[in-house]
Amino acid sequence: MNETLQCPLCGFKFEKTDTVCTHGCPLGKFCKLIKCPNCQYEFPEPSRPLRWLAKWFHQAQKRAGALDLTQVEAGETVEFAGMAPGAEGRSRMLAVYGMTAGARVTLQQKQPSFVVRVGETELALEADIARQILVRRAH
Amino acid sequence: MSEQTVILVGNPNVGKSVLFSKLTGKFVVISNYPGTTVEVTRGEMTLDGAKIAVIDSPGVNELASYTEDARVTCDVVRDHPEATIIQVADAKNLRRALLVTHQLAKLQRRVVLVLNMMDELDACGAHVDARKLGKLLGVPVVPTVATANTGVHLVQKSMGSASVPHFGVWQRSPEPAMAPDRQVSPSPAGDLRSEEVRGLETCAQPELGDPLPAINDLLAQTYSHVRPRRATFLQTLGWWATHPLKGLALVALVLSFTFWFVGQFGAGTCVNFLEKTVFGGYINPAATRLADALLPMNQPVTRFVHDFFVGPYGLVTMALSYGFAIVLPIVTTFFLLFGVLEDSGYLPRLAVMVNRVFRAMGLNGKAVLPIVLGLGCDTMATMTTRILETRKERVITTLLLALAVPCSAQLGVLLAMMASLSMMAAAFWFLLMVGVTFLVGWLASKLLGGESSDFILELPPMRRPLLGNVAVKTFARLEWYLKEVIPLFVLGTAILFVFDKLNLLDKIARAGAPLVKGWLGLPPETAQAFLVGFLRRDYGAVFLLDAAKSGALTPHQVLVAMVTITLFMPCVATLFMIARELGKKTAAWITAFVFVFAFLVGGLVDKTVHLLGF
Repeated sequence: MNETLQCPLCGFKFEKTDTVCTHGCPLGKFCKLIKCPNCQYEFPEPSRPLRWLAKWFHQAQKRAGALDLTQVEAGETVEFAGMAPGAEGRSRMLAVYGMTAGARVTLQQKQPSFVVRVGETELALEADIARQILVRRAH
Repeated sequence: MSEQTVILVGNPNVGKSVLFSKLTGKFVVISNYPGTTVEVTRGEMTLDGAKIAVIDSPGVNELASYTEDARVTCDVVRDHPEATIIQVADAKNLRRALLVTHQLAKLQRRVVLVLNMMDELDACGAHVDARKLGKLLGVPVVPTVATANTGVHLVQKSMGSASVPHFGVWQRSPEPAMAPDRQVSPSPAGDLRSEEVRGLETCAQPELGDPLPAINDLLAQTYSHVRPRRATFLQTLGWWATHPLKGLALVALVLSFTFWFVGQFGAGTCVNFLEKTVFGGYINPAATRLADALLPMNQPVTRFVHDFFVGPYGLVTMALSYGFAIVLPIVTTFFLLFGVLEDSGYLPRLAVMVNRVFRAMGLNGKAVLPIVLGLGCDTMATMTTRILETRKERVITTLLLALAVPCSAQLGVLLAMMASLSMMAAAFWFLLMVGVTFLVGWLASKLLGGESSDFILELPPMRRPLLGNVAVKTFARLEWYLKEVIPLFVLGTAILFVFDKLNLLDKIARAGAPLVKGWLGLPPETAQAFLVGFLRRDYGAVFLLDAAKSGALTPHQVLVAMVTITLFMPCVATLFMIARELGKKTAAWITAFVFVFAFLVGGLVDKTVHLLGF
């Protein structure tokens, strides 16, 4: 099985074998950069300590008062704060539906899937994504 | 191509196709869910004596090719660098529309912004100052209610004054208008393709945050909410449809109504009337009398022609009576009900209910759309798999469509066959099909490499279906049915007729006996049902229905025959569509698997039922 990677810039998911650079590069297989086949952005392969750090930051942020969407009660209206570290790629997918920083999001239900309302758009999401959406309670 | 071109672009489910059909007078299928249009449709309109080409494109939330249908839109926008863009926006969701406008501005495209669904904007108590928005953006902004034809002529009028939108942030750009297009258009398309795609995909990506201040500013100046919203009945219904318990109840209600309307009324009452009274009582006897009078039976040539029309494998007595008396009423009732469901906005809500179950098959809830569409027509549904994001999902969904999702015609025939079975056998068939779907889906998800995508799906508002649209859609689908299906029925019958005349049918029955009789435990004559089943499985099912009705099959055999024919390849057209969408190799694999699997399961059912002693 090939490892799948996600481009931190455009959120495109691809297999590691897809990241073949242009021919003729002298670095060849010694190059440690990964090139996104969608947007051509080059980035270093996320290392284990980096992932661990990202996870730790995520927890730290939660402690600092940011909630994820699964911790919100159905019926509550909250403010979209951003994506959890490591999931920034998904922010593009949500932004096109109007879920941008400061947008008011109403959680309509949690089961069987999450349904949120942003402006006049109703959006169904699954729990994995809801967990990565950080929100603030409006005051 | 010197003629002018306009392209309709916009978020999904905002009414591009409605506007397209109003502008060009051409019929296109319109429904209330994102992803109705997965291909470009071309039409023509006349404006001041000049002909203008109009192109309708699949909806996109951004001009980036994450899914196949979005790629189609990106390609069409790129391939017509000089075309005017009519951006259709849902007036209620202006923010999302402006994100697309911003990308069009970056591409330096001339735009007319159409604010559609102004009636729904009113209903939710909001207001948009279209004139001011137009002034701020520097493009014509036209409010419309496309379904009611309000404002459509204004869209035509304002096409001449289309221009590149200004955004506060964007005005600082030193590039002259149209410059990027000029650079791109003269070069050979092939060489620059990847460069252009990259330009199109990435143009707005690095600073997606960028347009937001400008867009927020625009909204603050032009969008106002007048009165607080109160939930309407339709909204409440929409919430129920995704509720864990009420949603399930609604699924059960919809299923049982479908069973009653298509299975009992369509496949029972209507078929009986057409088959027994109209064809059996009038058309077939009249055609036979006419043929008897014109074509005497005593000469071989006239006898041959006579039999070709009214013999046991006759054009009228078999092909037309099967096509018109049995299948037509079934597909008519199904398409009617299906049109209502499509336009109500219920189908995407079904995705919310089934997402978790679909996850086990390597799919997500979105795949329920093509699967439910497959109950109408597997060929069309195979094309709709384009709304799925990864190839893995498209392959699995296509496989399940080809294997276990009966199309409306076949479903109706199967429901009619079920009438001769006990309640338990019918339930067994249903559960077996569901079980097979999950088993094959689960195995495929384990065996196939690749990723599944995230489940994010927009739920369109619940709407009251417009009777006119449902009727027009049903007629269009029936016309397609008559044009595509009846000729195949005629072809299938002609093949059987020739085989019969050459005395090949017995040989085929004998050759197929080990499989049909030995393995499936069916009478050898049913081999011909499976033979025409290769052409269209519903046609094969009609043969089996006939055999079941005439008492040639025991209930046990009816069950085995039903299971086998349900799992057959839908039809030749579906096969071609799979080859087009996924490539010939995948199509060949799917076909080989489906036929082997169909006979395998059929035989196993026969053995199991014997073993259990039913």
